[in-house]
Amino acid sequence: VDNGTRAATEKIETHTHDKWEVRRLAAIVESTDDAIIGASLSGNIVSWNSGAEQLLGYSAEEAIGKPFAMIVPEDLAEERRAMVSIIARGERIHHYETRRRHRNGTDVDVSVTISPITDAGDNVVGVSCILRDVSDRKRAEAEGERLKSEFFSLVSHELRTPLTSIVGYVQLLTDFEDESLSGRGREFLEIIRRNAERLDGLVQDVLFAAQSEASAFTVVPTVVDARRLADRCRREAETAAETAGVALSWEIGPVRPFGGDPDRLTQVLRNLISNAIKFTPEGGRVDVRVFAERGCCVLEVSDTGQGIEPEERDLLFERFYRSEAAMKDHVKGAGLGLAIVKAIVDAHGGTIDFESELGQGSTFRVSLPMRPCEGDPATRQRRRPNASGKRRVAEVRR
Amino acid sequence: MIMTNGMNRERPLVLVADDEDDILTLVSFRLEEAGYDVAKASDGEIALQMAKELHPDLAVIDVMMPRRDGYEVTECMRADEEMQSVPVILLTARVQEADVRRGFAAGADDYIKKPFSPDELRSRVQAALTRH
Repeated sequence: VDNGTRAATEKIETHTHDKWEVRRLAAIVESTDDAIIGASLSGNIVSWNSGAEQLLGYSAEEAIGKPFAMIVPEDLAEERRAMVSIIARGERIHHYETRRRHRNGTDVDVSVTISPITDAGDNVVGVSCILRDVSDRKRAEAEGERLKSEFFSLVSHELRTPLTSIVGYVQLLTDFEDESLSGRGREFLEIIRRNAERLDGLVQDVLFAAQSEASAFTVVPTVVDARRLADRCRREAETAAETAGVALSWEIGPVRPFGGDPDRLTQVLRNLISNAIKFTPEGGRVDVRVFAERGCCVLEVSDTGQGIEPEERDLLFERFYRSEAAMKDHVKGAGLGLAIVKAIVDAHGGTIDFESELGQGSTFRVSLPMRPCEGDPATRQRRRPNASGKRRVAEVRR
Repeated sequence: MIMTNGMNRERPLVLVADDEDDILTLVSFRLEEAGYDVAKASDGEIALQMAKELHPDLAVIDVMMPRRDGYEVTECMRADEEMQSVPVILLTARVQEADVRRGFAAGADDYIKKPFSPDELRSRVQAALTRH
């Protein structure tokens, strides 16, 4: 066989092999449940497998040649532009969760992987887009969240009802039977009261954490006065600091009133101070600073405690997370304080961060954007009383 | 003799409904001590009957009760011409915001969450009576 024939035979074999390879790949594309869509750089659909037909309702004939934008919900136009610029740079997008529009107008939850298609010269000539239907998983997650929230609500109710009786009757004894009680009797009653209060606080924290997990708790935005915020925490903090043998200092700078939920923000400061005191050994100090900085109200709590391990940095704001230090020193708590702080700060559009050095101490810093107060002319026109004209409750979604 | 809710009464009458005996006794005791007459109901159905018969000046109703819950009692009272002006305070251990919204939507005037302090109970009852 001469060289020319050999070359020609090899070419035919390669061609045949390529043809089979193309068919094999096409069969895979057709048989998968995932939607696989090809698009040109100009944004038109050039290929559409049966998975795409299944997921989005259009047949290949209907989809090919149409703009890719037809399957992107209008409110996600910005996201689509961002994706295009990533792909134009030759980068891939992996398992990004978003929505795509079905032919019938409803949106489908999908996980998207997009890769650039390049020519022999490595120029991007189009994109391949794989969409996986994640709506079942999303539904199951939402249902799980709902059940969890319902469970927490029920448990809280069952715990609160007997607590109401304990707290109520202890108070009745104190109010009406005080004279018939001995000194020790009063002491014991005070112990019952204190512990019932602690249990109630715990029930409230669990309930709040459940609500923030379900991404639906409320803040009631009114006027926040930073000085009053600190004053509301002061008595409890000073008692705790004294008991723990920790020096406590306050530095409250001038901060103009701003819009926010004073009750929830008091909870933020209270939790930060309570943590700082709990993790600071006797003889240490805790400094509380509240001041305005670049349009934000800053709440800063520093301690001379044992500090936070670097690997715990990301876990600290997780619900029910107990730090190594908390476990080692048997510090009381359910691991909810910082999770609650973060949820409230997020709901106010703020940020929380901390610096820590092992053996030296930590500083937690919350920055809250100083929004106009609810009564301000700038915001008043947007307020509308609700149907019953009762106290307004704004819903905040994380 | 003062006129309360169109009735000749010495003291305003508060209807209290709770299926937990201990809490019913506690709330009633606190209200009597604060100067009110109290009618006690141990579930939602009885509460409605008593509200119809006694024309109370105010109702303090627990949310989670057998037969009819607090929301239902409130809704029925709001739908009844004779009872619709009686202020209702819901007493609830369920303080998720959705529960609070549901209470207001049913027509409640206020709510008190359990556990409550005697001062809070007194001041909310007084405020509701003053408003009406």
